[in-house]
Amino acid sequence: METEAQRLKAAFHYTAARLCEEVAEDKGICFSRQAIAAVSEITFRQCEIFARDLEMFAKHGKRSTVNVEDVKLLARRSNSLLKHITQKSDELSLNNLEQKEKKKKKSAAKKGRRNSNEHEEPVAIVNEDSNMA
Amino acid sequence: MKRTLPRSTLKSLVKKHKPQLRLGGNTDLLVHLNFLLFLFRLAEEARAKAVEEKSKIIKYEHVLSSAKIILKKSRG
Repeated sequence: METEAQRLKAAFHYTAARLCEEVAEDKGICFSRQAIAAVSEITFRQCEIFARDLEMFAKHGKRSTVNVEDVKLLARRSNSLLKHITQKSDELSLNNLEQKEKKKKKSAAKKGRRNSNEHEEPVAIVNEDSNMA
Repeated sequence: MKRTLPRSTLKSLVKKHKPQLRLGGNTDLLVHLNFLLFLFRLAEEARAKAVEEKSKIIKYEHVLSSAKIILKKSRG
């Protein structure tokens, strides 16, 4: 029987191995299997701390949803990390804005079509009315 | 150990760093507690460093190197 935590750990291990491979190629070094396992285990433990901190930050802000500001607060201890996270979040928000605008345009076009349909319908009704009369 | 706290000094120190920041209630007492714990940790670390180098006296270098570590650990 596999528990949830074990599956999660396996996923962590897989991702850690992938990332380590990338770094190994970049630097021209090799990671031993134990090193990769240690990295994944450390990441797993660190995530517990992150989750607790994020929960506390959200609670402090009288929210039950963790948002980008909380994550930024989590990264505040290291200046370079904070800069990196802020940049990433800016990129994300920009992307979101663009997508929203696209959606707006699409929905506007749909609405336009629908409106034209609606314009036709009343005419038809009027015609029927005139027929009735 | 002296039992009285320099409350106004503490408040003015905070004011000097962040002029627009207001401290509510008895927050300065908690700040003082935090400061005392920081000093405690610094002393422990410096003592450990001195013992490590078989020195019976805590020297400037020990305090300097432990201050680096403890200041980093005490970041909020």
